[in-house]
Amino acid sequence: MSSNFNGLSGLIQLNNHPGGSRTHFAVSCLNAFIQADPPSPTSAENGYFVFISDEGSLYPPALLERKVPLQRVLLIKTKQAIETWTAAIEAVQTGLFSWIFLRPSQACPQGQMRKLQLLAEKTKARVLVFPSQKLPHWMFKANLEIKHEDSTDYSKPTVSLLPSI
Amino acid sequence: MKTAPTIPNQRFLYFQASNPGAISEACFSLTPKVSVFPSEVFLEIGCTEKSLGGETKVLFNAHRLIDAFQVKPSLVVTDRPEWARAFACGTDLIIPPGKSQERLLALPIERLTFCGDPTTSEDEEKERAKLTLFMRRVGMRTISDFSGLSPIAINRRFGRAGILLHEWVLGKREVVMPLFNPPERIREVIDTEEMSGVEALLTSLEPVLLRISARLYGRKLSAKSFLLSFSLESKESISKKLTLTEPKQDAAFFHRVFKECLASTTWGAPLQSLTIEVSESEPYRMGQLSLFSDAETKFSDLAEYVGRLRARLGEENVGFPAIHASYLPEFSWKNIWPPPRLQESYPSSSRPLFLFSPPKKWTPSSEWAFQISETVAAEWWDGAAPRKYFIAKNRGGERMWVFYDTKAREWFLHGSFD
Repeated sequence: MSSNFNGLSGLIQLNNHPGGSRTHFAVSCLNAFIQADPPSPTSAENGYFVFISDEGSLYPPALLERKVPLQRVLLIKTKQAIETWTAAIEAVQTGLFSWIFLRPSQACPQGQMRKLQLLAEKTKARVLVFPSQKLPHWMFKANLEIKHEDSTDYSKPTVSLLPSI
Repeated sequence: MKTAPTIPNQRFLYFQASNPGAISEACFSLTPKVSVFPSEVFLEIGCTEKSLGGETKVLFNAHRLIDAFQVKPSLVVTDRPEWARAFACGTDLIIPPGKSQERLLALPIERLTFCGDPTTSEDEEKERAKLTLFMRRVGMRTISDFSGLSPIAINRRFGRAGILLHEWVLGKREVVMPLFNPPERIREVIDTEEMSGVEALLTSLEPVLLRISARLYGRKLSAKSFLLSFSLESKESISKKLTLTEPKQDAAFFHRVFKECLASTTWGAPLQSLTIEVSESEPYRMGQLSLFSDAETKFSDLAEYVGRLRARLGEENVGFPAIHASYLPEFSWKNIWPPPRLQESYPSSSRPLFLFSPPKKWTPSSEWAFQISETVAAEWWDGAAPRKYFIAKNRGGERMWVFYDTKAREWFLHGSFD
């Protein structure tokens, strides 16, 4: 599945079917990107990734268990949903992060989302958004629905790629 | 008439400033020999001008430094500090080596008032002004008219004060310039009583941070952290430490970080003053950017970005995770800067990838099925009760990581497997 993200930049929305694990899926893709052999041209030694949320944080021991190098993952916990979106725009503007994970508790004004979309496409950053509710799909390069057909095996998600306009 | 002896390689840069302490510190980047008087600064630049690219370059750098303090003094370069004040006439003046006395003698007689020892010239100024007025009345026009008189004639007409002045003009007396010792800490105070809000404070911060930057530059230091002290009308004082992600001298960088810090700081009464002190510093090191890799530039950019966010959101909320041995999930890591080195893992297979912070209150219902996950004991010094963790799963397949707090007797949602 990680091959779907190679060359793909901009906003990507991830939602779950009940039982799906979008966070697990996203981290798996990130890991595949890092472990890629031969190395991806964009996986520079000093490339960084960032996770931004107002609700909480990725759990680092679980990341480490999945072989994600913690020295490359920046965690940002904001106080409000709007700060999450603002921090994401700033992160994209720096040009330092090839993967930006965003888990806001609420949507942001459309103007701000549009700004994030344009910046992400310009800087070729992947901004993976985990919204609490589905967001309008037209600003997203891809909309993924993560589901598990097998309810006991959460390691192999089934992904459907919804069309974006 | 004999010309005054010139000490070889001795050249003085002189200017006037009402608050010369901070400017003088900045001038250490031009020369280690800085002498400061209540409203005057003397720099002995003869020892360093060659290494700094010549006198013109030194003047250019001096102007650049002084501009940071938003003052516009005129600069004088002369061979003797005893004559420098006499030459300060409102425009820059560089007198070629060996020509200072010639120029001094051509000055109007009134400028004689300012010749002599800077440490005593202010006390003697009134008396000298009377003396030079008298000299003007008796027909003297220039200092040369005075210097041409014999000592006997000077003593008879102008007394002891005249003799002293004569010796200063002829260069028979020399002043030993005391060297300036800067205060140990770099500290600036901003009076905020009249300010209407944070925007006004941020505007007033700009020149202050420029001064701090110039003082750091003069001391060849980079700031690592600042201590901000907010003095309130209620006599209360709030202190806040601002740690930089990397040592810096750059005023613009300081301003960005201070802006984030002030945006997240509140105070309960009107602010009277803000004191900014450089609490930690280290010797300045020039960046060694590789021509073939932009890794160092990227890291520096990352440091600035992380620094701003930590100032805005709090250091505990922004950083690279460093694993910490703790039973409680929320304390099993700390967000730090700079990024940690390689870390050991510990098994956490039943724990989710995402944790809510803080845990949310949760109400179980019949739609949820529970599977025991683990029991976590709190650190004994916390006094908190153990937590019983469960994986709660509903009919739709949604899975949550919840716990029952036996002390609070409540359920909490701590993580999500989504």
